[in-house]
Amino acid sequence: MADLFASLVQARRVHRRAFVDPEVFAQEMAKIFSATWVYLGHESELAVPGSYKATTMGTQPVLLTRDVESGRLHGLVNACRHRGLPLAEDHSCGKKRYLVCPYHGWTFDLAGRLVGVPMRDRQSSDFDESSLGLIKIPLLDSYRGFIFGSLNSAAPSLIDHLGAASPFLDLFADLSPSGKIRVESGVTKYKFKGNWKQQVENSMDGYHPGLVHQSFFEDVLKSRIGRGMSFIVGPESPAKNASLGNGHALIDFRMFDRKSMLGASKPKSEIDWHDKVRARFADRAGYADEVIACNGGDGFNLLIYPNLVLINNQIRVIHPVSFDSTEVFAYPVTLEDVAPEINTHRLRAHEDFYGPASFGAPDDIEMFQRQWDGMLRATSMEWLCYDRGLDQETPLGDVGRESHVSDETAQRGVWRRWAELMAAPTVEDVSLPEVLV
Amino acid sequence: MNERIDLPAIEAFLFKEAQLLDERRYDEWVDLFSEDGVYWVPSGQAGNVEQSVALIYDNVPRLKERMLRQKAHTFWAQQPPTLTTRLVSNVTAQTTAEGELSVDSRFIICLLRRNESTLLSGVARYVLIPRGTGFAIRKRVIDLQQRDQSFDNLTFLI
Repeated sequence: MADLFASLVQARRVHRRAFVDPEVFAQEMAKIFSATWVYLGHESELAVPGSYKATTMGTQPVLLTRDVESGRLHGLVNACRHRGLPLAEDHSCGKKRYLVCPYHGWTFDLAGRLVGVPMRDRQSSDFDESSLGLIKIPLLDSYRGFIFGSLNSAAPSLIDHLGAASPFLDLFADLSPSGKIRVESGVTKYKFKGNWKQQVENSMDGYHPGLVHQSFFEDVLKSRIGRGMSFIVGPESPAKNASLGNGHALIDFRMFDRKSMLGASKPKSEIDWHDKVRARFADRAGYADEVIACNGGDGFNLLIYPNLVLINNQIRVIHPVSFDSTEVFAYPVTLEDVAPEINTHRLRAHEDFYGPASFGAPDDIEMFQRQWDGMLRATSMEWLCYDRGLDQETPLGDVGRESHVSDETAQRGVWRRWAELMAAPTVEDVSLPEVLV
Repeated sequence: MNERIDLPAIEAFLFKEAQLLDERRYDEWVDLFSEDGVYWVPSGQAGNVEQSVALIYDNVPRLKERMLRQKAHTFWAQQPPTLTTRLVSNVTAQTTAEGELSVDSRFIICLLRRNESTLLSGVARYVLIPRGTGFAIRKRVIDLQQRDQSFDNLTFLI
């Protein structure tokens, strides 16, 4: 079986079954979403003890909590140990002292301990609360506020997993003068009938914008700023498409300074913000300018495989629902210690291109739907072509590769990682505290 | 009740607006807004629009950009178009301290695209100001019942 999955991916092509086969999806939940690190949330969403957030690891419902007593973060499987009901609605968040199952009243604290069982004296003499806490996600760690969990206790450390991608998380967070970003302004949710990997690929696709987003990059921007911007992905573009190892990937636009191209003057609030960033990094020559170059939305698109994307001001989280259904949550990120209008502008910039009523994402979603329709029904068209830039890649760091922005280096890196994970023996979903026979 | 409020005229204005949207007469629809008009569709996040992401928060220049997309031959998300039929009802109106009209209505929009039908519903809250013999829209807030849900396509005018 493992060999079969690996054979769906070849050097320059991928079989349609990798997208449309329900059995592939079931195996992905075990071999990818239960085996590697999965992005779960941001620390600012759980700033206060007593906070919780219900999310997913693949299709599995999980909870992030910050307990009241110690203030520590916990990752828990969102299912009552009695009859399996979720203790909070999917994607809900808020503050609670206890998680109470509405069916029979079993009560857990935010550290996951079973602390209340109605009519306790009717349980058997062997009944042991300490073994019936919520199932813990074995590995939970964070980097620059980004919280990841892994259901595989043998996974490498988070920092090893992030590898060459972690400096980009630094750049994203260091735009804030305090070094801390905030996820507190809501979320733009969209969905499509199609497979989660379509959104993964599209987030790293520098080939499509000139056509799919022509109505924005040409029609709208010409009227707004006097010129189209499709050239940033055109044949002469210096922008790069890169694989970073472990499936992580990058589109790098940092060589464009959009504001200087447009001749836009910087308001005082923006100068103040950038001065604060420079002051914080006064001892690191050039780094502040590197950070500030990411401002404005033309910095980079970063994929942390399998479910996290950073684009512009946005944390994008991909939720696989089933082999043919995907939800995507796009959280606009605000900065600490800047003038309020800076953050308001970031929200409006986010709405410009992302979300189901925006000027960008709906045209991507339309392509996802059409692609799904074609891949699903055109069974005679078995192989999808992934060869752009294959002969023109150059090495990037120890394990990465890069090529022209419109190439498919990132996608090939994603598929190499997919094949590697899918070829591995299936890992146990979670090791239970004990096996009851 | 304020006797100066001409509720039938307000209702006729809202019905006409709904007709322009259903018939995709968008340029005429944009002209209903005052120069400082705002079109706001909040997301599931509560709070003021300075601190909360919206599904749509358009001033008139951005509304006109939205119209540019409607006319573009590469506006893929509206090929084929989303067909709409909207019902507007339960209209109430009050005069504000500033002399504007604060108008609420309930709506149901039936959507049809690629043989799939869906419904949207909610409350539309307007601030109208007098213009000529009728009104201009200074603020149009569409409070969708479905505002916290995931959507695939809201690129028609809600």
